[in-house]
Amino acid sequence: MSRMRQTRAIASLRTRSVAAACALCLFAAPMRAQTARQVSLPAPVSNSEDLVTLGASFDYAWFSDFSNRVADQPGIQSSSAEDFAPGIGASMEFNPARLRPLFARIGANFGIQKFEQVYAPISPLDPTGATGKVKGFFADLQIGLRPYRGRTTRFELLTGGTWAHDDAEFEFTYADTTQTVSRKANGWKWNAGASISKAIGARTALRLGLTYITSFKKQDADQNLRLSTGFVFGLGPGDPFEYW
Amino acid sequence: MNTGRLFALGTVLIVASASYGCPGKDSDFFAPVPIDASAVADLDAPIFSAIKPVPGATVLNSNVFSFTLSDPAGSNGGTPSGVDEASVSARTATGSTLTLIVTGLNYSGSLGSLSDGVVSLTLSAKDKAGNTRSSVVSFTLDRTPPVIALTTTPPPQMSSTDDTVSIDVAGTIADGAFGSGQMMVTQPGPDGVCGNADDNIWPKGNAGGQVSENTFDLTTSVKSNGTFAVGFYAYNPVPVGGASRTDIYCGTVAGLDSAKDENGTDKPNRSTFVWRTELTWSRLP
Repeated sequence: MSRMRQTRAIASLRTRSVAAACALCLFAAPMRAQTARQVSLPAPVSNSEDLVTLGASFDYAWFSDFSNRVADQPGIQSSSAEDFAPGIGASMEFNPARLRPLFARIGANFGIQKFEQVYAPISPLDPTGATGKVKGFFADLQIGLRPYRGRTTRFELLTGGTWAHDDAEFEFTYADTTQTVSRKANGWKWNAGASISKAIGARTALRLGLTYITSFKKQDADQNLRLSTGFVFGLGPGDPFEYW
Repeated sequence: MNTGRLFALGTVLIVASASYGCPGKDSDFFAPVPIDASAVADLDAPIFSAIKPVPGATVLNSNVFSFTLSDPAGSNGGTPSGVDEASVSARTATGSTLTLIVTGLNYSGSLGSLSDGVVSLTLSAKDKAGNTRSSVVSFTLDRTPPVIALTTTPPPQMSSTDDTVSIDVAGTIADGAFGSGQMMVTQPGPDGVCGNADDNIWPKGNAGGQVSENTFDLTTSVKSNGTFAVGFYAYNPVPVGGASRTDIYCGTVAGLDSAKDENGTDKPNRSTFVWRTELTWSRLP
């Protein structure tokens, strides 16, 4: 074979190999091809590794009924409350190979909301006002599905149960004195959400998530829509992000 | 675990979350909390009530005074600390303390040691939180009846052959709280004594054996200047040619003051003065 024909053959082989690699990417099976000229092609996809992914995020949640519950009190004159609350979150995802595209994720989110109430007391023993803050902790137990897996992008749908724990401290003001009262509340809720991850390295990705939490009750100050932005880090052999 | 079972587990989890009842943080979580009344300072002093003599008894003909103490919940809702019984006192304007008899929260005492006249009693009490209250009760103590003095009376004995005899009575009734005065013309009862319960009032009229007036209201005159002067006619009961007879005419002058008891009920001090004259009637032939 002449040198020119050999060159054209090699180039053709390269082109077809790249095309084949791109095609295989759609099936989450990266491929690697070896060439005599050291062309870096995707390695063959291995789907046999169980993966664990850790995540951290900054959250911003909208509690649609929070200020309504703060205001819904006998003898209240006015109130203010933070319906929008920033927070932080962490997650751990379990991605067994044999269950893909399904996976399980455990998440925890924490945020603080402040509120204030002004009362028109009927009795001298009733408070004239109250200030306080609620520390909310949400633990999400979710099952997810990755219906879309692009080259560097993943899209996920999730749902499951959320255990909500609220720890509030009230500072009640009376005519002649003040009083501090602590209250706690716990309860299970339902969550549903979606997230999209964009790989920024072999093991790291940016994640943007949206989760809705509700108890299906009309009055629930914990009901919220949470926007999460953060990072995820994959544990496992090779390039974990390739296997998601 | 295969995919199918995992989906089933997820479905169960979702359904369980929705059907559990999912208690939410509702309005009760943010409900106000009333403060315990025991945590609020007692700022209000004890209250005097049922004080006797009552305000209407400005002139008091009684030795009784009494009152009730209570330490109710104050305007700030604080639990009352209770009356400090050792601090309860009743003092006169001169500083002397009256002895009090305590029955629960009811206090009573006697005014017997005080002289008649204007009295100002200061009642004081403190609760256990140190709040003090005083109440002043003022009245005029009057346990002395009016003083009656007659300046004009008929002679003890007289006689007449006339058809009528004029009998005049005058005098004074003295009392700082004079109320009313009266004179009644009577004849004694079987005991022959004037001014007691068996007296009979002389019949009024202008016939023989009657008097022109038997009851006199002295109030207006005495209130005006402290004196009174009244008169009436006694009519000769003896017919022409009849035997003479002697009639006894009694006059009871009564004076009352306007004193009341500790409950405000009228309890006047009363005094009387009795005059007597024996009038022998006859007729000239």
